[in-house]
Amino acid sequence: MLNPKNWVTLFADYLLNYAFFRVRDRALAEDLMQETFISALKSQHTYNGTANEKTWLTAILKNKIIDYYRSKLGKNSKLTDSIDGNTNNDFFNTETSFHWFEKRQPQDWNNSDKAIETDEFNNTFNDCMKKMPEKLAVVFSLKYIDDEATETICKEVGITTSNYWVIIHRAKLQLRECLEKNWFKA
Amino acid sequence: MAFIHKILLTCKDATLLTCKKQENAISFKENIQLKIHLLVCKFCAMFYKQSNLLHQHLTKMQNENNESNTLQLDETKKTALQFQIDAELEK
Repeated sequence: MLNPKNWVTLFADYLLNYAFFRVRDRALAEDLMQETFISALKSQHTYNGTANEKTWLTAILKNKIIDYYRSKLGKNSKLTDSIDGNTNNDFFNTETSFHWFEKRQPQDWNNSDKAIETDEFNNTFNDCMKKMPEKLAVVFSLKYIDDEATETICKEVGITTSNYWVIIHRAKLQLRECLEKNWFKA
Repeated sequence: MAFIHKILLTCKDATLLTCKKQENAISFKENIQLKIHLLVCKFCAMFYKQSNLLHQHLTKMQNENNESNTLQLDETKKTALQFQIDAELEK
């Protein structure tokens, strides 16, 4: 049985946090949460009682987030966007059979195993994640926040498997470099 | 592409395969090619090690994020939202 009179008290904060972790924008997260309640009211008749109220509302929100992701992937954002707005986005030199460009070669992270346990690392990590281009961030959050299978992600946002790997590859190269520049060398 | 890269892979391919390996999407043959490349290329070996750390960190964050509840909606907004829902119910 649905009880919309209690929705805000019981689920507003939960849905807001759920959305925020996936879209990284407070105002947008609030909008998505609000739209979820309105859509849920309009489709009350589709609720068949098999899922609990919270799960049902979360599924509606999830669909709204996917719609938002699709719109992001469809528009202007290019695969070649980068964290630092650097126009030269190649990590590998085509003229030397795809060796690393010298200034982009990974450097040794001393004691990195222990270092990543610290709060400072967490902060830098979060900053680098925030700076990640939308297109990469969308796929990254489906993979790492929702832990979805590759095929599911591709179907949801309408990309091919090889596109998926290009995105993940680029995201990891950029994230690694961002951490090195902003934390390990700081 | 030079013949040597058919055996050794390019650094671009080796880093891509590293990402695939983290998600268990690498073939037996690719895995061997990757291992050989990592033996001879210290930069890709560092990428391998560091991106594994990132992968672990991301996986850990996923569990924490899904359980945390740090943001709260303002009380005024909550009241307004409930009012909107109630109005919709009256229709």
